[in-house]
Amino acid sequence: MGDGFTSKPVVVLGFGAAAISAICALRDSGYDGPLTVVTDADPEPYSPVLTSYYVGGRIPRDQCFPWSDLDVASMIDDMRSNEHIESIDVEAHEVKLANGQCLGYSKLLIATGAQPIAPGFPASHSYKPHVLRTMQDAERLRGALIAWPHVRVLVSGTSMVGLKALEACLDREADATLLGRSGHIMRATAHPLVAERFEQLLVDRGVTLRLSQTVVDVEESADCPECSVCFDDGDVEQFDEIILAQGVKPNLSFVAPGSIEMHKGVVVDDFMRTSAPDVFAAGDVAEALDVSSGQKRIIGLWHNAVRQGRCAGSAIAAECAGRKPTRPYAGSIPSNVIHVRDILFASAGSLSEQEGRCFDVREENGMMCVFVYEKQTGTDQLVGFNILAVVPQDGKHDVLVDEIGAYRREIFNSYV
Amino acid sequence: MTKKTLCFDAQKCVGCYACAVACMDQNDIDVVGDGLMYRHVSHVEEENADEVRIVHVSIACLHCEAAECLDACPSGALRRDIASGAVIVRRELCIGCHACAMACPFGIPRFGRDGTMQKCDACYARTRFGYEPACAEICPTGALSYADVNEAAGSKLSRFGKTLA
Ligand SMILES: Cc1cc2nc3c(=O)[nH]c(=O)nc-3n(C[C@H](O)[C@H](O)[C@H](O)COP(=O)(O)OP(=O)(O)OC[C@H]3O[C@@H](n4cnc5c(N)ncnc54)[C@H](O)[C@@H]3O)c2cc1C
Repeated sequence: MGDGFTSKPVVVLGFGAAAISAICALRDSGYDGPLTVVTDADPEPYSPVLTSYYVGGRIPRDQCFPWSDLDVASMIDDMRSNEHIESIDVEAHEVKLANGQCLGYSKLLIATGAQPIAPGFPASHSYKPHVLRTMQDAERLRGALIAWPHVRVLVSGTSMVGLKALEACLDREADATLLGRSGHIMRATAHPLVAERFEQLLVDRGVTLRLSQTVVDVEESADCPECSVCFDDGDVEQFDEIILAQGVKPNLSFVAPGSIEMHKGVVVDDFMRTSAPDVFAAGDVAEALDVSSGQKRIIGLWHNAVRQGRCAGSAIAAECAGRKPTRPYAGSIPSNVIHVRDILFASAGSLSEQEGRCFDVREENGMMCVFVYEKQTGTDQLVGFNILAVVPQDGKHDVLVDEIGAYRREIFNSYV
Repeated sequence: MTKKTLCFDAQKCVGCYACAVACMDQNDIDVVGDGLMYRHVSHVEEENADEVRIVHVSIACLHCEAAECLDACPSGALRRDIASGAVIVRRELCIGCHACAMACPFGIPRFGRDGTMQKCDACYARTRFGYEPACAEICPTGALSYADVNEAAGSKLSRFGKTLA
């Protein structure tokens, strides 16, 4: 009380994993004041993770909404869906919407996620490449992949979303080509030896690889619906569709430069508080603690969005009740699990070559594993791993695959 | 009514596997075929100053209070059963993404032929009607029991869980 804002609502921007976890935590922590949500999407929240499964035909559309049996709507007093945010005024504690309305807030949570970007990809006059994030993106891509058999698709980008899009293409029996700027796929998370084996497994499953290449031109011919794609090595190839999965940027266009401390995302403290008073951030917009490097950075994963959202929600509830928040965000480490067909790739921690590190490369039972240790007196400390396995028909993995969570925890615990 | 939970006392466990067999029976698990066991019995050597002793450990999902698998699941397949407190899998919603496996420090999630995750559900279908979980009911030594949550808080199970984590 006393700051003049407490009768104003808590306003949550976005309605994805981070926002919903925050809303649940707010209410679970006893906040019973007004709550407003603004999202540019439909009122029914979807999971971006599920979009590729829907595109590939593995799940029906209605399964893309994982909160459908949780009555989130009953926790919200004012739901503004399909609304764009124009700007926020952190001094005045106001959110300005594109429709001209102004919403005052007591506390604000920015949880607007991220959007795909395609740096350096040439624009075509008439052809709009696909991306994969929203349900609209998924609908459009799904429609294209089922339009006719063996659609020729170029997937540009070889990290998590690129490989997920590739998997959806293979599920739809498309002729898929995977394009990457680097010499190897999964550049940020895979050891080169593992990446090389992964690439071979993809080729064995009918994927064409174009690595260390970029696209210099895309042209759509007037009389047939295919694109001529010109690569930097001079090759020209025809594709029916192009999917761009080259990276994402946080949705923060409504934050005026200088008003909140930002680098790639919004910098947050242990309770998801930003540098602006009463403004919190969580999920793919937030630069939070990566315990492995000690740095603040975005690690855009579902698990992190949920944990950060919950932390923000309970911190906001505490502050609204005049208490100090008590449940800090413990931080995270980079981690990843990806499937393409029967291939499973899991990684966590750091795989980079550094002084004082040793690499244990193992090949057993059709698997390839790299365990990275930091040399210490006594036992060496595990700091990262890659496991690449072909999942057997009966689904029963090698015990190493079953233990990925234990390895991840071992790495995490070594830093905290 | 007080809430109950599964407790494990390693001092009493003789490693007889009755719990694992009762679990397979309860869940119709055909381990000769494709079935995956939800409960595992391990035998760990514990070295003290002048003796080595075998400690038997019966372990299945711990249904953690702050269950990391729940937070990691992007498809809504994992849910907490409010009445029993059990973390349950709705396999029809599971996409087999292994996010739960990456999150669980105990190596509990296992994946079957259909790619979906399978694990112990603390027999919530039994406990709902006042029966004990099958493993606790069968345990001949009382190592596994279904006890009051407050009693369990200081039990060997929670201490064991913390050590593992
Ligand atoms: C295809 C794909 C596969 C993925 N697979 C995995 C995976 O396997 N494992 C994993 O951990 N992560 C995965 N991710 C990443 C994961 O989806 C995200 O990390 C997570 O969803 C982030 O949650 P969030 O709440 O921060 O953002 P989002 O879920 O994107 O939610 C953002 C919300 O903000 C709204 N919004 C955006 N801009 C505005 C605006 N200007 N105004 C108002 N509202 C706005 C959006 O409509 C949405 O409601 C994947 C992502 C994609 C795209």
